[in-house]
Amino acid sequence: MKIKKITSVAVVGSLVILASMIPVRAKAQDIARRVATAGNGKVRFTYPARPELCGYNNSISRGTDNHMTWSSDASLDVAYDHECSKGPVRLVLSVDGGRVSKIRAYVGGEWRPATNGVTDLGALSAKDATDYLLSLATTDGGSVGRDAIMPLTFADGVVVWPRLFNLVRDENRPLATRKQAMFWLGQAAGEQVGGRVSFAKDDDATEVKKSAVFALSQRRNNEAVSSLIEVARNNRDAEVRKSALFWLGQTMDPRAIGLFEEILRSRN
Amino acid sequence: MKRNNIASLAAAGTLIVLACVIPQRAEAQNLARRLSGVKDGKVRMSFASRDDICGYENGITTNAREQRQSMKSSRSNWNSDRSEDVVYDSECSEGPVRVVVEYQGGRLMKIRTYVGGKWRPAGSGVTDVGTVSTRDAVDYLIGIARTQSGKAAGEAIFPVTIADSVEVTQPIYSIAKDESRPNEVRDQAIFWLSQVEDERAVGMLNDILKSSHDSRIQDKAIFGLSQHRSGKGFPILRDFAERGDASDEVRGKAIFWLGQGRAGGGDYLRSLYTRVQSNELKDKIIFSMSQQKDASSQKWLVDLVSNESESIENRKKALFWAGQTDTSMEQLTNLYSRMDEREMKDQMIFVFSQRHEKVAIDKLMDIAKNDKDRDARKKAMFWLGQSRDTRVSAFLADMINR
Repeated sequence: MKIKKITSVAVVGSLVILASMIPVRAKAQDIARRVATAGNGKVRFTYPARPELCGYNNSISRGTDNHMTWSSDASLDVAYDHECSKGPVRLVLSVDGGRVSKIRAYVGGEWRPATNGVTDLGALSAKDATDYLLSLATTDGGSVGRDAIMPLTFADGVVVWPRLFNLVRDENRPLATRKQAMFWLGQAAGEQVGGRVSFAKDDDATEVKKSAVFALSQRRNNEAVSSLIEVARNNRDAEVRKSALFWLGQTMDPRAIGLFEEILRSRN
Repeated sequence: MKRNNIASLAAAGTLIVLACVIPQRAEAQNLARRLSGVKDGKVRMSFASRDDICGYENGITTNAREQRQSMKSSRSNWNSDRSEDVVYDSECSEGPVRVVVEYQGGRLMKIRTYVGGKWRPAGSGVTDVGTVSTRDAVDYLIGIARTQSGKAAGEAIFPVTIADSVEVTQPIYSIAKDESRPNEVRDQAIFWLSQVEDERAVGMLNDILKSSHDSRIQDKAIFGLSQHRSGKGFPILRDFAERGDASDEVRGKAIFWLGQGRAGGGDYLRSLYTRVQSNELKDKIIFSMSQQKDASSQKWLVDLVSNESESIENRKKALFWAGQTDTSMEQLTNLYSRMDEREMKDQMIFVFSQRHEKVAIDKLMDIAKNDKDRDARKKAMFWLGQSRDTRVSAFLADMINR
């Protein structure tokens, strides 16, 4: 009886798990279907953004004293009334003949009024949005696949890096897409350094060392990757370690991929 | 009666002279007429070549006499296309000039010129007019350059310049000066005018330079003057470089060629630098000075680098070119130690980075490690990162981890 109960619980549990999976797939497919049926025009939707992000006009920034700005095109779709507007992520897909031809990402602000040809899917979960974006990254052979990666790293509360590692290592994907994934993995690994370590700042020495890290990253034939990894692991200055991770993110070196994976796995 | 006889003799003489001339002209006209009937295929002809010329494979050498006498290996060659019409069995095969004129659909497509060798067997579509007189060949080819257009019309001029014992300077000059002729034909005419030994060509090139309002043609004339073997073009270029009514661009070309090769213009360029105001011209002079091989020209560049009454831009250019010449690392290092201005230090660090010698990398490492100026240290590291020196990676890693 007890066994039966456990079995029943297990069955129910399995059904719950299945039930929780099926809608996710269905939702990602649903987004794709709705994009395809949009024909020509724009499809837009929002999803939760990581709290450290804010947007303004055509830029997205992270952090307070360490701003990173990723410029997209001019803010055609979103209006801002202050300089650092928090979430959500606003995504606009340009669709030609049912196929996504361009992706624009914003954070915060308000949608500009929708004109003809705009399909608004409303607010999606971070999971649904990232599933969809990953499906673009893993199937599109052009710039859309590459451009799908940045906005999926903005999503709040979802772990995307394991799938980005798959993408980086998949030699059948376009190099530009793999490089983009590598770059964002480097960013994610760098964030771990900043979060883990406090350090006394000697700006002058740090600046010079960061220049040396950059110079090291420019050595031919990835000659200095092992030195950069050594710096990323062991340098006393967290800024310098982050800089090493950033430049490792510009390589496609398997040793750098391994390091990123090690750092990101140790977080979870 | 006697007078009558003389008159008769004179008349007879005139007729004889005319008789000598008419067949030649007629022959040239016949040649043109004969060839105008060819619509497709190749026409071959040969004529006597200058005795200082020889040919081999796809090249023609001008100083064959000297070669034969001294076995010197230096040659000036004009490459033509691969020798598809002529076969050679020696490296320096003397005349005749062999010209192949190629037509397609009645259009002149290409003219190939060879010297010496033997014709390859004629295939179908080849008309061989045999050996013609140099006068007829020159008249025919000059006729093409005067009347046809396209690259092939320009190609008609070169074989004219290697024909034996024919005056060609004046007809080439006429084409060079003729504004109704296409650029590519005039370009060729100006170039080959610069290559003829006749010193009248210098005056002709000067005339083209001064009378043309087309900077492109002026440019070609300046080049031509710089190339004439008499060296008599250089005084003309010096005058032109000083002409305030000419554009800086064209004056700059004259300065450029004054800085090259045989011009020996170091002293002149140094003095010109003090007389010109335009930065563009100063820039050209600095470059031309860098092309001089003498020690005083290099010293002039180094002095200019240190001369604080000069603009930073000119000093940076002087520094760049000083770094590209034989200026020693010791001199450059001494200069760096006396520099305070940020831009000059940056430029010097760049100059070190462009020196392919170990001691320059040593200096960059020294700056990266010890310079009091943080930006200089960063700049030095940047350029170290770009170098091929195998010591650099370990040095940078040490800098980061210490």
